[in-house]
Amino acid sequence: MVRPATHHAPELFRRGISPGARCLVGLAAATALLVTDAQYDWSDSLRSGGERLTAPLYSALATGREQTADALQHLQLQGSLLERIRELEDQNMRLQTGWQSLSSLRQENTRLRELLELPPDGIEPVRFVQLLQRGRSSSAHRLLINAGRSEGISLGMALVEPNGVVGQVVRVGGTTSEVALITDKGQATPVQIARTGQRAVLIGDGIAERASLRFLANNADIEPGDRLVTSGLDSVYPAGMAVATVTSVERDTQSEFAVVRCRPVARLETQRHFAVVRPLVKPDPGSAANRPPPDTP
Amino acid sequence: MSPATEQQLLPASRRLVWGSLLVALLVDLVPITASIDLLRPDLCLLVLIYWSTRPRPPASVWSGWGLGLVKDVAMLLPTGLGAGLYCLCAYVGTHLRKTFDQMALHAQMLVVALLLFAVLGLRAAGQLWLGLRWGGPLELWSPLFGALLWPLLPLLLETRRDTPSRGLQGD
Repeated sequence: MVRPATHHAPELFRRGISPGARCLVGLAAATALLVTDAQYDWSDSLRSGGERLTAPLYSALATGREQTADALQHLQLQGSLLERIRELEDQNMRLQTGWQSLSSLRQENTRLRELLELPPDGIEPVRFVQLLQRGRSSSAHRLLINAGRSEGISLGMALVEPNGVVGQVVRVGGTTSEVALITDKGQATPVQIARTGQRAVLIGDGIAERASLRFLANNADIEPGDRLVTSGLDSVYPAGMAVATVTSVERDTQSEFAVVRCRPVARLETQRHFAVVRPLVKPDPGSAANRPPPDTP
Repeated sequence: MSPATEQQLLPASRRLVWGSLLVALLVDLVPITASIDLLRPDLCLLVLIYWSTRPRPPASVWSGWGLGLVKDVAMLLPTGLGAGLYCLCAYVGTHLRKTFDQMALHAQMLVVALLLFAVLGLRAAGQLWLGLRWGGPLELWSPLFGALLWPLLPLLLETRRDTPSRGLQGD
């Protein structure tokens, strides 16, 4: 059979760069990406671009997962559905009763703060968000949520859930954002011990469900079981939100500081729905609260 | 050469190769509980190694590089780390192809486990170099699970590939 003139040369005889050379080029390019990213942190723009492609995918995966979980739950709970509704109605009643007293207290608090010319206090959720993806390996303490710049999310906003503080927004994309959990390595959260009011800084250890209190004096009044709440000093987290519980305190006489291990109270591993909270406005230095007290005769 | 051997040497269709890699990537991206997530084998890497060890490897070093970069971006990992490792794995797979053909299944699983362990080690070293932590000792199980999944890949991907095309039947 006569082959047509346009027939290409067989694969065997094609010449090109050898696989070894390709691998070397690939490795060099990957190393260049790693090094330049570590130095100039340019990958944010790449991730923001990639986020446009991956966001619909994550949404679809998250929706599929939710629907599967719902369907399974529906099958499991079918028998006890009425009981569950009754429980929720009771809970709703209790919450509504609590809410009434809370709203009157809030009004009273607002009036008092106005009288003292203090900046407004309290938690103001910007948006309720859903978890899209959890980081892997070294990024295991990062979350990707389904709200970004277009939903009013900005850098530094706090992420909370009903049990307590979850973390802080560290990267904002168009429709998604990246959140560093309070357990992320080096993530600092200003807290105070609820029992004594002593202030400290909670630092993430990069280990699941664990963080440590740093620079707390050896003789500090702290014991296992103490609750830590946000101090509100960083203007990121509203004051008084539950953060963690102290699990162990080691006092070494050789060291100046105690080693305090804590466990976050928020369900960092399992919770899928969160609220993003606006950072608090820094107090105006000229406000009454920050002015020196008038000289009394 | 027997017809069966001829069929086995047929290159896989691009659609099947990229389709399987995409499905593996999607499975890798499905969010699961963080504690189990560490045990999850890198399915995308496993499929890439599989394709790179096939005759006339349909998955090249460049496909590995691109796929690794996509995973880095999608999984919030340091940009470039996955790209380099995937590219290296595709190359090693291509290099081992002839040896793989001669190996029994359990020996292939052992080699794959070693390769996945090497990737895990290099990834951990890269992360530590960048001042990040690695997932922890629990992550050491993931290469083992990956190697256990290896025998499933020919069952899932080979059967469709062996179907002879009309053109060849005509010949």
